[in-house]
Amino acid sequence: MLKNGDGTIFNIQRYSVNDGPGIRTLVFFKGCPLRCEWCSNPESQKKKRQIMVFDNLCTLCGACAAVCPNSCITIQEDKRIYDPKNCDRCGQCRDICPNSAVKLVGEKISIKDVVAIAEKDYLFYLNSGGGVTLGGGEPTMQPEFSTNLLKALKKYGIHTAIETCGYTEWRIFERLLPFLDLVLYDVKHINPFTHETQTGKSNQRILRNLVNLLGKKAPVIIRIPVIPGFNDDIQAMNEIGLFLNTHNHNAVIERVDLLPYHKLGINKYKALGLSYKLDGSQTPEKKRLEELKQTLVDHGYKTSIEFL
Amino acid sequence: MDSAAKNENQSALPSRINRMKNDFLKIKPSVSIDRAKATTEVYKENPNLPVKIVRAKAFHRACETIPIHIGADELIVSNPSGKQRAGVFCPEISWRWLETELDTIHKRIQDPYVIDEEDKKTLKEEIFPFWRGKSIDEKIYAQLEDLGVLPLTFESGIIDAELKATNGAGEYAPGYCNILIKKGFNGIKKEAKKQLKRFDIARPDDIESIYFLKSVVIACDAMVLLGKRYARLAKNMAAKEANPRRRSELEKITAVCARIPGEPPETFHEALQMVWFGQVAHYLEENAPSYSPGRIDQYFYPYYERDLANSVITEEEARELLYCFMLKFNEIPWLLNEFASMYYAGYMAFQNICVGGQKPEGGDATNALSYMVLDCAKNLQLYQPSIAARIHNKSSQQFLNKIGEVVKTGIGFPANHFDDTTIKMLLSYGVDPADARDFCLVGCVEPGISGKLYQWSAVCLTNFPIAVEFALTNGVQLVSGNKLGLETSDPKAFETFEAFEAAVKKQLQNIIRVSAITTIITQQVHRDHLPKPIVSSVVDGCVESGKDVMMGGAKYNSGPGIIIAGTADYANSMAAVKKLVYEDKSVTMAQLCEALTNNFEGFEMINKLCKEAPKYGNDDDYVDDFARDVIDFISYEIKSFQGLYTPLALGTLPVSSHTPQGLVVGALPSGRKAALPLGGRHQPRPGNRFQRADGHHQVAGQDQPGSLHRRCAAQHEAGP
Repeated sequence: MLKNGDGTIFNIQRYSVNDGPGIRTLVFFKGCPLRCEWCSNPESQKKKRQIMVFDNLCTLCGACAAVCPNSCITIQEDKRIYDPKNCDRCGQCRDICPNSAVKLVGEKISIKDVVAIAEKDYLFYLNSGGGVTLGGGEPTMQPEFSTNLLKALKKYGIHTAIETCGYTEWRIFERLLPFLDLVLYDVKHINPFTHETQTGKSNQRILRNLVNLLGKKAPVIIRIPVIPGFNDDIQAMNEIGLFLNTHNHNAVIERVDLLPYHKLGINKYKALGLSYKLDGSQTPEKKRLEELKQTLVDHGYKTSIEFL
Repeated sequence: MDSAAKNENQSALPSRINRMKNDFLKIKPSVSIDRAKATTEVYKENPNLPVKIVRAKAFHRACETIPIHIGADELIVSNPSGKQRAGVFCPEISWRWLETELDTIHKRIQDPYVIDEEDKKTLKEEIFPFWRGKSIDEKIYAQLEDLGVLPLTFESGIIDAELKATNGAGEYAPGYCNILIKKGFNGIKKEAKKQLKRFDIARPDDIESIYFLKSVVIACDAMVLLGKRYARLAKNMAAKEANPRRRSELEKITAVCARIPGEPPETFHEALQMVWFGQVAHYLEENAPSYSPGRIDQYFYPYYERDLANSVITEEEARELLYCFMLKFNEIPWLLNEFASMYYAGYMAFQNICVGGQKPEGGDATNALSYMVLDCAKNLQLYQPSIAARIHNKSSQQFLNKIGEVVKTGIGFPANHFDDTTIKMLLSYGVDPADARDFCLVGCVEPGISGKLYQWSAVCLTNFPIAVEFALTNGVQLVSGNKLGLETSDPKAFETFEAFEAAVKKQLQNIIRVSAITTIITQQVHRDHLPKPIVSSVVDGCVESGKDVMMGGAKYNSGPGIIIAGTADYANSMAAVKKLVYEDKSVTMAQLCEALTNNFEGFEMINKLCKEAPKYGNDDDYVDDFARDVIDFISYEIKSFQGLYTPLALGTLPVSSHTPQGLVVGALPSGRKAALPLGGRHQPRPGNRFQRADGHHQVAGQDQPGSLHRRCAAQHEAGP
């Protein structure tokens, strides 16, 4: 049952070291306004609960088809077919599957429960300079839950960070900022039309929010996913560098991180019944990444390449 | 580590060390039978002398006759076989395994050894026939057979008792710091002769002491003789050496070996050579694991400091000598039979050296040598010596950073031990506070006190989950179908979880009882047939009291330990039975037993439920409490049995034994299928960390066993 104030998440990952300083607990929010073709967590995109089926584990035993109350599943000779139309995500197919090929993603969780998990690693935060990062998915899509969670974490003196695509209303950021120690802000492209081709949305709102954000005091780390054929060229990086330079009056940008494209999420597309559009793409070469990095360094930004 | 980093480390080595390491890596491990020949001769010649004297004479003969060798670049010399990477075969301990493996040992999968064809002939014609019916291995086997405990031990392998039946004892820290470098073997001999005067051959109670002290005198003479042989060899080589630089090195070695190991060392070089002769002496006495030199940064430091102050040596020269010393540890493999090499894989001899920690009087003990040892280990990238670092509340950040630097290279060293835990543990057994602060590590993780504490880490290695299996089968081992456990009742008759748990505990008690019997028999056979004059010469209390270590001569005694694997499998299995059978009632006991008997084949749904039951290591008390409980239970149970000198002790350090131990355990309620490896020490089972989507992971895996570890560590080792 959805209680007032609960959030929808799909994972809490302790001992995260790639999402802000130190050892962190990463809360994955479910739901995102963008549909980036390279997204490595496609299960984060829709806000509602989803069924994932891993065909490599399925033996076509038919147990799920037999148990499904809405007859969403049929087994044909060498295929398991799932029609989500009537599916109410009751989870009986997951429970019955002997091979754990079916997973349900998305769960309701209370602030109290998240804080209890975060608190377990308090000593790790203290000793490593870590804390909690809200990511996902897009934390600003659940503004009430995000705000209250950050408030609760600050009460414990825990360092807080958010990973955001920036696509939201500015007033939501204004609510969150008082409780944030660090903002990890995605910038994918400066050209609004190019941006829209592979993320589904124009970047105008994103860049406007970034300008506002740079006018505040919270430290910001800019994160750029480096996607082949989309923004892996000097010009794209140059434009980003120029944009940042134009607005970084308060010098709040600590660093720029380049996140090279990778295919680690590809199996999840299949499990969700989605098609993966970047099949032919490869992780950018180290030499290219070094050139892109140099471009941003030339604009005066400490830049690092964050290999997974 | 990537190859670039490797190259960087290679180039960080001085050129001499780089050459020595590269040469070393090309050597195929072999079996050396020279000591075996000497031992066999002496036993043949002296069939009627007391065993203490015969063994000392055999040791002496080995020191007289083994081939000796000085490598082209060596500064620290000697080894127990005259060649590098040669395992020392000890037929009086066990020979049957080598007879079986004689034509296969060179091609076995785990840790192969080559044997010379000529040596094979000697073994077959002279050595094996003589020892038939006389070895330690055969004596222990016969006694256990007579007592009716073979089925659970040697026959099924559920309790593996080969360790001390087929090897020497080892597993202790020799008193290099408090005895050998203070007195030298001549000084120890002098002390033994002095003590001899206290005893009267006309008094029956004194006879064993007299034999013992005589054995120490003979063994000390033997080591002095070996040193002199090396001095002569170095002198001859120097005379023929064309390169003036190497000639002067050989002359230096000549001078060092003329004094060492008879006289106490005066320089850093002599001190290193002294300790190395000490290691060689131990391996000539018995092929065994874990002869651990302990806190070398502490006892070498005065020599280092004085040599630097007197300009006898430069820091670079000292570093080169230390490299040479550390390289030596790789030269001696612990020779094992094929099966045991799965338990202790990788030619490991477990010779542990320790850096950092506190001084005996308190306060940080870290010094320049602590850092030098860590640097050498980092650059050498070899598997021996094992390195332990002691950390305490006042360890400097610089020291911690240095440790991190070494760990980061991926060599798996140093093992980091926190002083508080170990010192408390030793204090709880009544060790003097100053001795407790002076602890070192033995083998992998066992706390020791150099030259003061005598203990065996283990005689028996077994596992926890087999008790769960026995309780669910009324005592039948699933993989063999044999009745090896107790008849605790038909499992379907357990009306409550508590009744089931009580049956598991009964099965555990029985396994411990059989382990205790095996341990005590093994200790007795070692005491009566395998006295240890070299070990006894470097343990406080032995020479003074006229008692061999095997007669309880050491200042402190402890254990032996009983090592138990599979803590995680036990906890997971107990939690699954509790939850599925007694709480959720989603599976009946009959169904569960049937599924286990069939290794879950055809019972996929039950297997799924078992796998989804709570798993140890996820910060979930429901299951973790079973681990705490069983560790508490078993440690008190084990302590209730008395070894020859002290109560037995629990050890949860299976090394790699959880893999072969897995072979004897069938499918478990945890969802694990038959014969798969068990979990190692206290860590969660692989895979369980990532089984659920909501968090458990490295952090849980790391912090979870904190209290648990402390408790079983405290009950594990050490103490009078």
